[in-house]
Amino acid sequence: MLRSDQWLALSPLGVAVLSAVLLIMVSASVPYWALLPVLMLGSGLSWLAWRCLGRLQAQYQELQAHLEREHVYAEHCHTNLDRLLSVWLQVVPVWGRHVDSCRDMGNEAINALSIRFAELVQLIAATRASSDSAGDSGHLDTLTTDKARLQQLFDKMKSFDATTDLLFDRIGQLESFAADLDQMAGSVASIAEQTNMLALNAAIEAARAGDAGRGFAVVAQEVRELSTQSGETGRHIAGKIAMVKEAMHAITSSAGDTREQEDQTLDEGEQFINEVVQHLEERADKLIAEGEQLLATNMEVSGQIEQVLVELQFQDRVSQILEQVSGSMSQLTDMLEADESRYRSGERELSMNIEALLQDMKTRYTTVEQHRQHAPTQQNSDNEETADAGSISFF
Amino acid sequence: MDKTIMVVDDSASIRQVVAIALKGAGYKVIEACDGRDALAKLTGDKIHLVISDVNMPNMDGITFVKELKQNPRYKFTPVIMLTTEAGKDKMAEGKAAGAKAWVVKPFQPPQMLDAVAKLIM
Repeated sequence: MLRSDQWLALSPLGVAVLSAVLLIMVSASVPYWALLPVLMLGSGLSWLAWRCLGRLQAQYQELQAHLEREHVYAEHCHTNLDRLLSVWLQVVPVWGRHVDSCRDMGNEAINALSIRFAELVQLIAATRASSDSAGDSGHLDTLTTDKARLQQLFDKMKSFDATTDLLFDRIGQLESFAADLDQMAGSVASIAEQTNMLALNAAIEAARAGDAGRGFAVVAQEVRELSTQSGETGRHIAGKIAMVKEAMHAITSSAGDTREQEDQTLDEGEQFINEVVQHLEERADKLIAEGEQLLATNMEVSGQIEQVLVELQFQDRVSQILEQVSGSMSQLTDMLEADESRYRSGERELSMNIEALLQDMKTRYTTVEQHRQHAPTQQNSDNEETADAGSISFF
Repeated sequence: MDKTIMVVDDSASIRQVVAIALKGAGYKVIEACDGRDALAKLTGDKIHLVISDVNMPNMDGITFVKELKQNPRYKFTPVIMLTTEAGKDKMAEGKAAGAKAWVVKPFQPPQMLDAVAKLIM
């Protein structure tokens, strides 16, 4: 069964056949060969129409298949768009929360580190100040003072020694006085003996005088007794002087030994203390050198920590960059949610304006790095609008 | 020296860096974590200079400087803005608010001390 378009394609042949039949009916004298061109023309036209129709049909089927594929593709696109929107609206807020969390953790950790480092710097400064006030040179001064005081002590001890010498000299003088006293005691004994002899002579002469010399004999007797007592006293004195001389000799002899021991002890003590002081001075010099080294290390460590604190400034910039990224992600999510609602309600035109979003992001940038990363190719023009990191502008 | 400088920044690490540098140079330092906190700490005592961040919670640095300049006691106190903000427009805002200098982070303490020495009253 032919379709209408196929009947239409055969219509030139039908017209040609009809024309030939009409010609035969109108004029029987028309030769049959004259009908041949009409029939050939009709056949040719029908053949051409049939061919064109075949091609059109093939193209039509191809087009239909293409449309079918496009329809399936559109369905896929629609499904994928839904998925992408769903992914964005579900995943990006999670990323945003992670970014915020990282920012908070970074801020908290860096702030805590900064405070610790600052405390370390203060502690080191306090130690340095304490060291400066106590001062290693102060220790050396103290040592010098102690040495001088020890020397004063030795001088005093030596002055005691001189006093002892003086005392011994005085004892020596007393020995000479004792000799004088011994001599004087001898004189007293001699005088007593002579007095006794005189009293004896006087008693003899008194006896010769008889009664007239009786009183004088009594006086002579008294003088004899006195001279005897004087002689006894002189011997006692001599005995005591001998004892004193012996005692002083013993003292002088003993003091001489003690004096030698004291001199030796003082010399040894002085030498020992000099050695101790010298040792302490060496120790003090070493301590000063070590203290200076420690101070230099202390300052180096303090400087390094301060430099670490300076380097930690990156956290402030990172925090602001992350804050802007998080904000832009939220902003884009809001825009997509609005467009999704519109899309679901049948609108196919999205309201999202990427240029406006990028421009808005740019206005929220705070750091040089953000401007630089936004459009690396426009770096030169951006540089004209921003100051360099670390720059100081006075107004 | 015994001069007092107020440091206003929401970043504790920045406050520490600035405070250590200033204390090392002999200045007395008062720290505040944002503009509102800074205004609360202005008790009428002499402040010789203010160093303030721009982007801070509660009250930003530009607003803080405007408020500061409204106070007759601190009207002539010099202000240095210490910020990551590098845009010329923002710098113009700071200048209009009354700031005397604009330092872009990250900074080196010696540069900051030079700026402080030039501006401190």
